[in-house]
Amino acid sequence: MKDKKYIIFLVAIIVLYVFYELQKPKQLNWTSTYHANHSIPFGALATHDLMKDLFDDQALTSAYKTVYELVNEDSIQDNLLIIADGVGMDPNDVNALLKYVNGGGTAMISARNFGGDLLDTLGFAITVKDETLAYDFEAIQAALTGEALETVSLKFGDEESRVYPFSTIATMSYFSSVEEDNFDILAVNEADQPVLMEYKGMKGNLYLSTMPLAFTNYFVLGEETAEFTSSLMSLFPKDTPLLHNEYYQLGRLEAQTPLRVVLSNPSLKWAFFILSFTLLIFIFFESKRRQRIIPLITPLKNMSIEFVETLGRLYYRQSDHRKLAAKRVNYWKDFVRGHYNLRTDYFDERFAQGLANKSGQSLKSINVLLEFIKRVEAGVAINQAELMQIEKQLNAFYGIK
Amino acid sequence: MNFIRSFYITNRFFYAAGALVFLFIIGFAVPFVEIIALVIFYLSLACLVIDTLLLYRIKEGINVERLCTEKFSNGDENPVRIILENRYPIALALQVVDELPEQLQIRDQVFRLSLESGGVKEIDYNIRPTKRGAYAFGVVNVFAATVLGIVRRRYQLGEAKDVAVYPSFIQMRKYELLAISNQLQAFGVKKIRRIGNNMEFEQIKNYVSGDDYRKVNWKATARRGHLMVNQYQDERSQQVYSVIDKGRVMQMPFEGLSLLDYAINSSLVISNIALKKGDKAGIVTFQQKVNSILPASSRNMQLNLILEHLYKQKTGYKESDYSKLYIALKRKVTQRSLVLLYTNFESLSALKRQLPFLKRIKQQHLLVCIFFQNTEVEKVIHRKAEDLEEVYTKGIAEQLAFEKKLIVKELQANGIHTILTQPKELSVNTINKYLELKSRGLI
Repeated sequence: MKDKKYIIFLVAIIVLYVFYELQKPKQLNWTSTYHANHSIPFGALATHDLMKDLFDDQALTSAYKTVYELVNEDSIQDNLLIIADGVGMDPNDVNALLKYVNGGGTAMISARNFGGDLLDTLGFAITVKDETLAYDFEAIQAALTGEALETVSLKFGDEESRVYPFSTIATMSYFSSVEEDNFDILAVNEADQPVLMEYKGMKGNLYLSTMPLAFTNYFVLGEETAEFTSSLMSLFPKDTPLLHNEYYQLGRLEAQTPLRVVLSNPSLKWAFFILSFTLLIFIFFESKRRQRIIPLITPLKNMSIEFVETLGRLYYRQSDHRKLAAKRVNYWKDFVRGHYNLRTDYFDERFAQGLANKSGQSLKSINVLLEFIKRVEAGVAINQAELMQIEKQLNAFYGIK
Repeated sequence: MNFIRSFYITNRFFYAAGALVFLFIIGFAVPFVEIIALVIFYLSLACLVIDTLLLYRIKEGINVERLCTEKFSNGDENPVRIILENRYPIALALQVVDELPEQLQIRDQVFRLSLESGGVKEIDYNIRPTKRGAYAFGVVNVFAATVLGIVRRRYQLGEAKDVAVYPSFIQMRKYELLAISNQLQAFGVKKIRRIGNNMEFEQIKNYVSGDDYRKVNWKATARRGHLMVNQYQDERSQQVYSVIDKGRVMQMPFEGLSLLDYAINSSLVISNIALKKGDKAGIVTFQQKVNSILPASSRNMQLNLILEHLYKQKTGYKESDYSKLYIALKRKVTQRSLVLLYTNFESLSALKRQLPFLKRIKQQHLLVCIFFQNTEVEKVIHRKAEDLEEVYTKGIAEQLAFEKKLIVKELQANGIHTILTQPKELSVNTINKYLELKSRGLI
């Protein structure tokens, strides 16, 4: 009956929790993934659809590899679009990228933050206004619904500059200390700080942007901002397909478990399946009861020894060695009276001889013991070493090994 | 469902699985091993299936019966027997797990045996209960495996059974026979020189060594040609009360049995002997008040009454009140009796508190105060002390043991008989005292 009560209680709690979860207003997922299949606000499904329109139905394909791998191992010819929250490239990647662009390719890197060798090699720095804002869902929602707008002016070559209103979420960072000689500034924010620029002096084109969110569903579908995105897209030559490299945001998407190797080999696969199946069997069958439950009953405990030890410790703290020695002599005298039937009033020669005869101990050792006992009886102070000596002598007398 | 419940797997299964995993891993490097491993795998699978079929083909392949007495004797080894029968056409390896009463707290008792087809075997084991009351046996679990030994089938057979654990009637019978046949010497019961004998003549009997020379009947000796002695009747119909202290001091256990249970066992033994000797036996129990009085009697059913009375004794181990005991004895026990008081004093001051009441009881009855040596403390005394603190502990232990002897002296000085005994030796020492007092005619 008691168990039933608990089960009902548990079920009630679970039901309540489920109900609460259903009632709760659904929180939008504001994570920025820039993934081709994500329809969340900061996914990139709409961007890929937009690309189909711009590039004559050529789908924007996705890759999940480093630039180094794409350029040096796969030798791609496609144009390269990298969108990420932050891009940190190692020297190999940077070299591969420059080699690719120098070979005539077009690449655009759009990231809120840049790191690694790219900064030094190209000669620019980046300033992020509020880094934590990007991960605070409520702040993002507030910023998007509120009036926190900033205009971004875009100017290509001789064209007239166009102005787009962007939420401050999208313009969170800008390029700073740019080496003017190396770059053409293509777009600036309200404070005239560059947000899109082109690296000069290469055979191909390398564009850098600080507005990755411009490529997300939210802004691609926004009426005023969609054009900005398509303008950016138009920077790519239309005749070559475009490759969206998602590696810098999502990493490799292929199966990454160590089991990949195990499962690829039939022999190891057998071993693995037998092992896991056996483990399941083990857990199921070995946990079965072999007899009924025996409740734990603590048996009565004899506390005598603990009691004696506690008392002993108390006396030990006092350390009145003589008093303890007197106790031990009392017991000894009782022992002698009881076992050897000797009077213990005087410890003279006759007593020693009698005790030696009856106990079978040598007269010499009896005399040594008696010396100690006489001292205790006489009330002389006993020190620690003497107490240990008495213990030794008594052990010899009682025959305790 | 029953199949799943009764289906168990042996270690052999896991060893085989382990070996297979190992072989397959080797097979990763050496391809032909993989083929061997595959063959072994299918063979093992076949064995598993065959083994299961062998075990489950027969519905009730094993028969089990548990035999034990209706009553167990507390503090003694009580025999239990399990009889197993194999009805399979094949030999079996069996593991037998008997569901023992929970009071025993034994969880690891497994009997392993092999049983040929149609064979019958017995398992004998003993259990030693240390508490009175109902002990519940469960079923007998038998795990059967074939020669293949991959699968085990569990049979839950035999019957659940309740056994009542009574005060030690085994001890009672043992000492009864000895007391009647005068062989108690062998168990440490000594023959007492009889002073102040009752002179009521009973019979002439053959002389045996130890009989008093002065009782030799010379005429009868002359007629028979070997020594004959006169035997005189013992005093009969004296009252023997076992008074059991159920208070706090009796809770301490030695070898699993509390002092109270030692006292109860001993009361039963002494009551039985008293009844056999023609005396009247009675029981009084008390703690903070007098809980029960079973008046002394020598009726036929008295021993059974005493057994039942002792069986159902319960206690809260309260502080015992000797004044209440004194009043009850004064009112209810009017005839001068032998009062065997089972109690325990750990220190002289504990005795001093109760001494006035003991002295009052002693005025009316022959009082024997029975208390216990603390064998746990004696163990400390007989151990070598390694450091100063241990010397102190040992000194205190010696003092406690010494104090017990002082208690004996104090009681004797007040004319109260005492038994200071190890818990184990209680029954023997009590019988000794009873025979001694009786032969000295002190009651």
